[in-house]
Amino acid sequence: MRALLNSQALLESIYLIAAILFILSLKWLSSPATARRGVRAGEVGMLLAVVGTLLHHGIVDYTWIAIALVLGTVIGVPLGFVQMTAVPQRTALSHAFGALCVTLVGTAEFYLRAPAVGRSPTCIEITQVPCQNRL
Amino acid sequence: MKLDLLTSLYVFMLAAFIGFEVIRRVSPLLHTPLMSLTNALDAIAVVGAIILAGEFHEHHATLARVLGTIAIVAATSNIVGGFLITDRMLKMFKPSGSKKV
Repeated sequence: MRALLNSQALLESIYLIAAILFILSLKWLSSPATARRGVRAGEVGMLLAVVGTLLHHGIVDYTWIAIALVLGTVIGVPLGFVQMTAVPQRTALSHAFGALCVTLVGTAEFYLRAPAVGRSPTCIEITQVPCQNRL
Repeated sequence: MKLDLLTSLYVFMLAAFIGFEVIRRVSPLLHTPLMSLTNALDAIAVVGAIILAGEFHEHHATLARVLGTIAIVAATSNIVGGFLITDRMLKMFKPSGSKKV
């Protein structure tokens, strides 16, 4: 099973299917008759994308992922059962969570792609002189 | 997957049109469920967070793990809560809107 899923092409096809399901999901939400089918499509797409990513060969440590998924579910379930009158506030708060996630991923990727940043102050910052010229 | 700038711009342009066309005809009745469903779908960023938290990193390993873990928590709460509440809202539509299935 895992050997089969190791191929990059399969993971990319899973993402493609998930993207199609997301578009269909929003399309089906246009009318009350098909709206719940839209939610199902979104759920299936999300499940495919998450499971596909979890089986991705690059993942070496599952401990923190598992803890985070459980913790997120524990926070998410009460958020799914708030009073109907509190839905606008809940959606706004949830948007903040989404923004937090994207911001953190972006920040971490910035540091990962520029390994020199943040490990120690650069020469330029301390002395206003590029490193090669300092000694 | 490596994309050059022009291909990325094409993807962005097509995505913008698809997004607009898909949203344009949503009935005003469904605007609130639409907001929470898009909020749930927005949490697809969890994919990036999982890769960030789980992959091996030579530098900044702790930073990547900590930020990735917090990001997964935030996104998962959105996925679970977002789909749950959208479904609850749509369930309420059933009695009044029973003219259709």
